Amino acid sequence: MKTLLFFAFRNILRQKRRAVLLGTAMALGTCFLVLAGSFVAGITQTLFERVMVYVAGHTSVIVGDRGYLYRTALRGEISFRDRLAKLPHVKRVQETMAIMCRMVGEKKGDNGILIGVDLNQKLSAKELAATRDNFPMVSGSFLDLSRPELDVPAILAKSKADYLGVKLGDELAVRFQDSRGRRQVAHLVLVGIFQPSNSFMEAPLFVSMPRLKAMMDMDSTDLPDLYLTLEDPQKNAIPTADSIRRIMASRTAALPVSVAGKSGSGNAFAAGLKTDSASRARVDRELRPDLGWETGRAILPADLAAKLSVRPGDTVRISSGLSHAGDPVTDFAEVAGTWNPPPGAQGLVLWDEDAFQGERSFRSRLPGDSGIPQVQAASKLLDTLLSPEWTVLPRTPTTDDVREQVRKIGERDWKSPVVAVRTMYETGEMILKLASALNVITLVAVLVLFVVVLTGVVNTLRMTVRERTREIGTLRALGMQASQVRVLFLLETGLLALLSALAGTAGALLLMFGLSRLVFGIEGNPLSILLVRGHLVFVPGILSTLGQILLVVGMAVLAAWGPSAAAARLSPAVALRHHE
Amino acid sequence: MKTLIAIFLSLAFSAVAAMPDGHAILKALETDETLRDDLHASVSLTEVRTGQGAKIMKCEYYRRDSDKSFVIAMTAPESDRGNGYIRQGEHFWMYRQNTRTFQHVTRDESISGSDAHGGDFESRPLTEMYAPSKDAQGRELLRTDTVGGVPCWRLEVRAIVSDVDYPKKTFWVRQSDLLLMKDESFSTSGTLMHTGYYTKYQLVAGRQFPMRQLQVDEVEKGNRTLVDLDDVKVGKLDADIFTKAWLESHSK
Repeated sequence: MKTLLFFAFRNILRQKRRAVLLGTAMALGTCFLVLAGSFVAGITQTLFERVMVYVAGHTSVIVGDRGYLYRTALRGEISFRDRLAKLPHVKRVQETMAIMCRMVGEKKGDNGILIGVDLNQKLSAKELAATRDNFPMVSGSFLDLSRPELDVPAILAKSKADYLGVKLGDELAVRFQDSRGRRQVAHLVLVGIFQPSNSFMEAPLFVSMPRLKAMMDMDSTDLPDLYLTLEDPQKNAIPTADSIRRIMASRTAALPVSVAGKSGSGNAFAAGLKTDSASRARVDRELRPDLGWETGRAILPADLAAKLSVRPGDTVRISSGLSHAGDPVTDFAEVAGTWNPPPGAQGLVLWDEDAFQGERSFRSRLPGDSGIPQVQAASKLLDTLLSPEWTVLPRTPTTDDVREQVRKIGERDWKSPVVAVRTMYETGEMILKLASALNVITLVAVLVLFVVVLTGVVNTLRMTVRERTREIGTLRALGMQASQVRVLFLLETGLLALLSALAGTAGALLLMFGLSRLVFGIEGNPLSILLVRGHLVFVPGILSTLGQILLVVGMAVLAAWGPSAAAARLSPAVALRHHE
Repeated sequence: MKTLIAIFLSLAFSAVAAMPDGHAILKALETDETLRDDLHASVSLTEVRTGQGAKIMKCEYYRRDSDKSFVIAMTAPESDRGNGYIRQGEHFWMYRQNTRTFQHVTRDESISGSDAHGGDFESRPLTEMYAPSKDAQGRELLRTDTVGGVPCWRLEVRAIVSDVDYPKKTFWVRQSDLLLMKDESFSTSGTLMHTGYYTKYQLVAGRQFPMRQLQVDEVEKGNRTLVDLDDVKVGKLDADIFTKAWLESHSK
């Protein structure tokens, strides 16, 4: 083998010009392949690590409420945060809120996203460095978000601050809808300005999480969206999401209420009764309310209706307590009829699911909140007609599934609050698909290039075999086997391809180094989301580069197989008689 | 002197006697908002945004309160012509002519980039949402005032249910016929967020319609929208109008 390698090297060096020309073509192909592969990997990494992770966490729990995408609060359910933190492979569970808002500065107004920052979370040195890299401060500090002497300190991207005409210490007004859907305005003080690493990071307006919760009329017991940071997210994100879905299975909802009618009021418990067409028909058939089951109505226990002196068609006022802000939470319902609750469910008011869930979403939870036993007693009779505390939505393995689910939330397919558990690899599946498509396109382009190059290799080898026929004959006469002749030619081609691929890879790395130093001033262009502070990002993977080199060498060897076999088939006697 | 005192007393009494209670004012406003018949109007919105100049939008508006339906067919600007919105019960769609698709509008989604959201189009009786605010002595916050020299009743109200846009509002209604002249909307903290002026009414089919109104954004100073109604018709409309098919064919 050593001798064959020596001959192979010698033969390459003997035909320098031919080797250089062929090698250059193969090196260029390899360079293009490695460069394109690293660029696609760079885009994917940028989108996942600098965008998707902030949009979706490794795994996320997303809360929606009755057709509103931005009312993200499960009242009184914060204990789930600590339960999920105990799951295997979970490094951190972080509350998160992203609220669409209108920012109004000295000069202009612009749309933005209010983001809550939890300054108490413990970050590793690596995570801290990544955060600093993503949000390098131009002035002020993220820690200023917790300054107690200011009402609501905020941090903004430099480009937004310039657009709005605000500078450090200035006040800006923010208009938004709180978790109860009310329009609110808050006056924020700018305590920090950062230079965003990409255009996606220009939109956020950061405030501390406790202050954002207060602005949104939420208290510390309310559960907003959660982002989970995991060990080895690629491996653990989906199993963890499946576990969370099981943990967050919900019960039938109940609400302690006070019902006021014509002659006073009475305490009771309420359950939500569905109002879709199938449920309406079933309620009308089984409970036979006088007015028929419709939205905005309630069915009262017969004894409660008698106590309040209300009859079908009358309006009752249903109050369930106070909101976090201290306002009474009340609504009105038309009495559709009365019913006699089964044993254990005495005093249970059956209320239109929409209004019932509305009241649940506004009311702060109290210790000892109950009604669950009464509702469970009634569930034997009413089972699927009763509204759940929340609906855990089916998992969404693709971006299209996520989009479809969001559409269904908007169309109010579910009247109860909804909980969706997603992973960034599923939510960003479109990005992975796009990366795969780009890789395939690159590969196809390179394959076309190599077909041309390898046609040259085949031709060159045929010429070489012809030129070296007498030499082959001599070698065979000296005892070289046919298989060794074939291996010799394959080694020549393989070595040339390997050296060319290595040279092409080195060239690609140099090009990446140079290109990643260029600054592209495309601020405002959507494509700038693919850049990091205006720079292109390349991520050459060791395994993928080795694979690309092997592909090039393999293709060259494959192309050389025919001419090499032809050389091996030559009879020594015929070869020695060969004259050009 | 006694005569003078008697005159002042009679004026005071006559004023007090003429002052309706807050609930009556809210009920009158609610009645003004309610339509028993269908409605068609050509609507022109002139939107002025700070630093962006004026943008004029025009549309045809069809409304049927019996099943909470309405259709908005955009006619201007040219870029929006053929687009539209349709609401059927609790469902609300946006129609895009270039893609010929209907897209569901979520309750918190902005309409045409404006401050209006999908949920804003869910109407609810005013008296179910608000009640007159009262002072420490339990008296309604109702007093006389003027808007553009027109004598008005000024009524402060507070939300009595949770599902409202603004927890506090103030209404100015014309004393002569309880027509709305002006309203102000406040956030929970009491910040004035929005003011509406209703400057021109017209009698159509026996009831008054606000033909011109000015909506002023009090947070983003300088932003305002002038709404003009024209060709208001009240009466039964073709049921086909309140369908996706009609909006699609109308936009061609």
